[in-house]
Amino acid sequence: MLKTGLSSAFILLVFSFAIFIYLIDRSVRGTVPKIRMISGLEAFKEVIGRAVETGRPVYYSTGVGRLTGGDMSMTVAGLSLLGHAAQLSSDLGASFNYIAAVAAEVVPIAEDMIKTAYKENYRSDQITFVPSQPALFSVVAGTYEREKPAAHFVLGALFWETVVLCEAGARAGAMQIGGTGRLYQVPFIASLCDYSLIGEELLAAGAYVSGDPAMLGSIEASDILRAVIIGLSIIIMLGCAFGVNVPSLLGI
Amino acid sequence: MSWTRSKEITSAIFAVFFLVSIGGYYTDIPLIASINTELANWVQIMLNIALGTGFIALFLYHRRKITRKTKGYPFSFIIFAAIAVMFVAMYSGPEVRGWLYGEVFTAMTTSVICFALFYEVSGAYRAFRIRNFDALLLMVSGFIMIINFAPLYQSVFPAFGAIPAWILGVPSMGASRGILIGVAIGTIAIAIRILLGYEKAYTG
Repeated sequence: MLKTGLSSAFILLVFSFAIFIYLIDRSVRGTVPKIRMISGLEAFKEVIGRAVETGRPVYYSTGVGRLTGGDMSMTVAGLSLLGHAAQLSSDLGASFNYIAAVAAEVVPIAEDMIKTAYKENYRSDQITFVPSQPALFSVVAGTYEREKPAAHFVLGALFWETVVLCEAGARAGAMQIGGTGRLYQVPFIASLCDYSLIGEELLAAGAYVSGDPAMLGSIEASDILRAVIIGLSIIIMLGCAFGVNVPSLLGI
Repeated sequence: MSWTRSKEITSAIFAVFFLVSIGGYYTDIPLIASINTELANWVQIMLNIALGTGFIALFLYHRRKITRKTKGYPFSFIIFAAIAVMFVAMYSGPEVRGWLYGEVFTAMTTSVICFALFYEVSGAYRAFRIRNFDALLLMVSGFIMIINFAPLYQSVFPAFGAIPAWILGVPSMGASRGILIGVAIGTIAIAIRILLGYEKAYTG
């Protein structure tokens, strides 16, 4: 019934599901885990506050990542933080703008989030949709040069646009928070942004800012899974050192 | 609120697609495989319908801009003209279509992409400034990797020939795999949060 060669992966997936469901349930029942502070997320208020003080706008982009395939988790995380940033901007009285690119499916979601945050103060021109990556380059370079944003968020499944977005933000003198799980863009984020959320940090961010016990439980489950994988890696390395083929013993 | 916008409906659709996709990937049950293929076809159909509604929305938006003469409305004429020209070109044979795409669209796109090169250079300058020890490591590694591609490197510094391969194969590979594992686990976490209805970002 199971495809050949996938049985171990399937067992690991079922095991992961079980851990997640157990720890989420435990957290909902009252045993809420403590999560370490993520400086990039704690800085949201500071960055948006700076925009309010200087009277300059806040710009947010999730890049060209879509809501499908491998980009899905990062785009969802970027959208979670979009809601948080929009709410903070609305509360503090900042001008918030979102630039969506290529992935048209994120526009209604972002629109709903910004409307929820700004309520009757929402304006349709708070969202700019750009249909292609090269067009995004020119839109971002021009807009940031004119508007001089004080705060710039680049969070999501980022592709080659990362360097243009972050460099345009840096030239405009914006404080920047960037985050992605896409390997080739991580160096740009780390070097050009004031705060960065790398890999798993971005994916945990939505849960962190929500403060929802169920969401926090899922972060604890992620940590346990990571420990299991590190343990497995050590066992496999020791096996290699002593001439034992652990993966074949486990049927991987 | 309309029942079609309720979170439960969205979660249920996600759950069905998710479980069928997982089943199709891990098992070889013919029924699940055929349902999986059918759902993938539905996605394509829905995407095309969305494209049609998108076109209508675009038309209405730019018509409104023109009638109200809002800021930048002359560009809306260009959009209508471009749509009309491409529509005619699609039915005028592959030469016209190919010429418009290759000589106009590609040329303009390439021009815009080229200016990103200047951003790359100034971004690299900003990245390689030595502000702390981490930045020093980044600068040294980056310098070695860049010089590795210079033709003279291997002949002038034969003793350092293995360093770039070591940087790529050991510290860089280790960090990359760590990030990938973290992302994979985070993806499972998000999928389960959506499945259980806790993650609501994708529904707005």
